[in-house]
Amino acid sequence: MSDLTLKNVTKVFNNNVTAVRGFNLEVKSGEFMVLVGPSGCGKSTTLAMIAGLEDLTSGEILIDGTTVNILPPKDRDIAMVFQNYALYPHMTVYDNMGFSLKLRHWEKSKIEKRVKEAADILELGDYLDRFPKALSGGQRQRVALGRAIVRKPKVFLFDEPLSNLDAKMRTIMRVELKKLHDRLGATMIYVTHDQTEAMTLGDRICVMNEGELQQMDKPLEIYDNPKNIFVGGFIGSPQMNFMEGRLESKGDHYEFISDHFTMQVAVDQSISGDNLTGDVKIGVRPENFFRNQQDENNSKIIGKINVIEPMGSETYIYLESIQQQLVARVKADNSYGVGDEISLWVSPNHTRFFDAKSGMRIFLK
Amino acid sequence: MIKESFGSRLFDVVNISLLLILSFTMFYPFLYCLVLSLSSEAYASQGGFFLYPRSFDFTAYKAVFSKPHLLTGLMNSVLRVLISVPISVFFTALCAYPLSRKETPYRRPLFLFVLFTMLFSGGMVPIYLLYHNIGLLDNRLVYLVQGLIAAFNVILVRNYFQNIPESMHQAAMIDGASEWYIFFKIYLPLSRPILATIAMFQTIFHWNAWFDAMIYMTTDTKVVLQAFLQRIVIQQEWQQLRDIYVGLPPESIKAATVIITVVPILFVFPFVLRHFSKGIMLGGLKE
Repeated sequence: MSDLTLKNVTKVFNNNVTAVRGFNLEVKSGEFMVLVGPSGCGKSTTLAMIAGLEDLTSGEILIDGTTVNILPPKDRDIAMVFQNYALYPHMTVYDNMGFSLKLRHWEKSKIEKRVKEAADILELGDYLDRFPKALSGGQRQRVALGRAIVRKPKVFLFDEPLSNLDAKMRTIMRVELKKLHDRLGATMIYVTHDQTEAMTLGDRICVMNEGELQQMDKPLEIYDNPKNIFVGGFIGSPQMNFMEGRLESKGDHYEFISDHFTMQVAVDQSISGDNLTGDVKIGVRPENFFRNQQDENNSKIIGKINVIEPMGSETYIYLESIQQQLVARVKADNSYGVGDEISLWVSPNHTRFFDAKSGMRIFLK
Repeated sequence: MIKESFGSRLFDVVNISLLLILSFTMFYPFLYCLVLSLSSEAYASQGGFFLYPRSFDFTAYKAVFSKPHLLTGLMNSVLRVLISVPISVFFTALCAYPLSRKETPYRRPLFLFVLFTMLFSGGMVPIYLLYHNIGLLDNRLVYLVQGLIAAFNVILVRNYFQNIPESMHQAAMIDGASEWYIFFKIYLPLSRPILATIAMFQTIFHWNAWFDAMIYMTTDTKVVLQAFLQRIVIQQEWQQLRDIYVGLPPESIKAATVIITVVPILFVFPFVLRHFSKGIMLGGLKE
């Protein structure tokens, strides 16, 4: 188990595209850190820099306090699992898994012991003599995992390892990965664009956009308290609903005024300053629209149902309210119909305020 | 079962018929040579369209094999192929590998340089003078140097290497493999189909080459089989054989020579064919 630190890491490609900008990250020993963000946000480039597959333009990467960004990949004591498995198709499962140990001139008996240990953990014992083409997608990805764990590296790197699996296998492998992390207690960096994987796997999540760190925190903290509009919109499915309006000072409190409704709010000026009057956006999670009024502070939104998505345990209702599309997550219920008018209640406690210009969060009391 | 339309069936019939005719036009010259080489004088001199031999007369073969150094020429040809082809394939792959890697400095100018040699050569006289100066004239090493790295083959192999996913190279690097190790243990085994293809190209090139033997070799024992063929067929050496084997038609001698030079190479193809295996990359990656 080892810790990993990235200090002011920047990557500018030859075509002057800045993939990663002044990125700082501290991963504790044994931690499962997930880098999440949309395509092109720099998460895979960051992983490649940690692995040594891409050079840094500036900054420093340390593993256990030792600078590693000057070392070739093989000397960093890391292992990587790729999205497309990257197994060697002309080698058996056993040879694939033992490849790195063979290159380190390990004795055959030691390689065999280590490979069998890994195969037992991953339930691959019966497939060691097979070639990758004779395995299913899930099994191949387990071989790729096996290839990583035989070496017992300081840091595991995962580059969207579940993206190529079907939905069912992805769920199974997600659980397996979680168990594997608990069992090995290893430091793992996991890159994904899938926020479900990020939420379920990560001890902490690092949300990236356009090469910059947006927010790094525990999954639920990021979900409940997004630092800016981007994080609020990216984390959560269906995504957070945003509505535009204005904050106006009313003496001892502020009032949010929009086309939809008016809401009284108390602003925590110690965090957000004392002059908050102006254009804002509010964010409401789909599950924070209520069918019934919870208390007198609630505000009502009326909309017309466009689409209903019954998910079994719950239902997503897409509605249009004053020319704006909103989505609400409600209990499974057959009483709604497309075209129906529906009233939903919003509570200030479940509403997140963002500055319309900067996109940054405005904190409330 | 899906019923095909009349137009579709008509297309199949026409298509298959045309392909059969095309195949026959390819095959018939071989058959013609074989029949002619085995035919007696009376039959051969009739000329016309032969489908099968009326007799089995091996005199033409005896005549050709009686030519001095012919077997040595055959041996030279076989050795030329056996030695030159593997070395050529290896060096071609070795040249193609760095050209396929994006981290190679000046990769594009280097590639254009290779491409240039495909379009323009130094010319026969400068090459002759070069071989003369480095002592390759009348030296069997010239067979090795000729076509050692063909630009066209380099391009083929480079393109194949570029289709091997980058992640496999990266995985090997992280596993601790050096570039040499990756080249020998990952890229070469995964590139068997293209290596077999260029091996076949090179085999045919080396087997058919006669011009280099004619201009660079002066000793008869160093000449390859194809040069003997050229002498018999073009330089009228069949007349000498006819002086010994009186009455043997020149067509039969030429045909027998052609058969002797063509048949060995036909046996190579089935061995190469099995390497054209589809799907060698299957399974290593999610497509």
